[in-house]
Amino acid sequence: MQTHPAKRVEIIIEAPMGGRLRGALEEANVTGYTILPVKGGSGRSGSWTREGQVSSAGGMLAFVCIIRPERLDDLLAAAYAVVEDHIGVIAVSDCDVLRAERF
Amino acid sequence: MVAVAAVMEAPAIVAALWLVSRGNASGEGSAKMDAELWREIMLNGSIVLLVGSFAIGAITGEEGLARISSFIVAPFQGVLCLFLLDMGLVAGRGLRQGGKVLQPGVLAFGLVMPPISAAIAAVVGLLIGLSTGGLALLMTLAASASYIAVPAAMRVALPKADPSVSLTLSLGVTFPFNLVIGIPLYLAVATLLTGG
Repeated sequence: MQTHPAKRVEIIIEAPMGGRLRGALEEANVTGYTILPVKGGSGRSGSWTREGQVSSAGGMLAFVCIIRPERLDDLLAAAYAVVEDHIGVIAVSDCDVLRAERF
Repeated sequence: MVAVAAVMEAPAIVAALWLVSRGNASGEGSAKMDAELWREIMLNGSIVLLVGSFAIGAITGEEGLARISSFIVAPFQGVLCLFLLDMGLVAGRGLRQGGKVLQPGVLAFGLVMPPISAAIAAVVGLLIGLSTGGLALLMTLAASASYIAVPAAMRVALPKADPSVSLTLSLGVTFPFNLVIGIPLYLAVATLLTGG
């Protein structure tokens, strides 16, 4: 089956910044993404879990976005502007998609 | 007093940001306040629900409460028990993490600041003529950490601040302190001051 190269961008960001990241992505015309709840983890700021939190302040979110390679820089610039000062990770990897016209 | 709890959120955030700006003359770690953050603080879902419920209660009065009392009043104690059990689990987790992230000075702040805030609230409550219950509740509110809008707002406004310290302190130290020692103490003081 024919596949097409694409980029998969995964952004882990603290939950209170989720709305701002979503806004930044849409402003950069990145309209296709998936937001996943993150159960817990550990990093430079210590370990954390979303279990038992009263508010979303201690939680994290994962944004997964698959995009054409030529649009990657716009996405990264928009995401970095939001994530820069906050707890989070931006990772880019290569992937293949079946229906290129959707990206 | 429920509405007061919601209304106290915004001044608490402003006070915290003022303290930060005062302590950071160099600008390092300065707060990031913008219109969007203010909108989130003032129109936070939990605050809108609290203030909205208060307004609905004031408009519908006793008659409105009577219609939904079997849904609201009767299950209240049971739901409160479940909530407190769940909060106990949260506090237990916080205490377990506390040893790793809390320095002795920070730990002491979490234990000493609630009675100080409660004492200030007692003076204010007496000046405005609150009843025994009202005074005890205002003292409890003043002695409590915020779990509604403040933690998320502070994460947005102060990204350099370590959230593991503030969240662990509020949930693992101040919350159980207030529950076990604080609330009985504030009630006793309120009773003594008002003669109730």
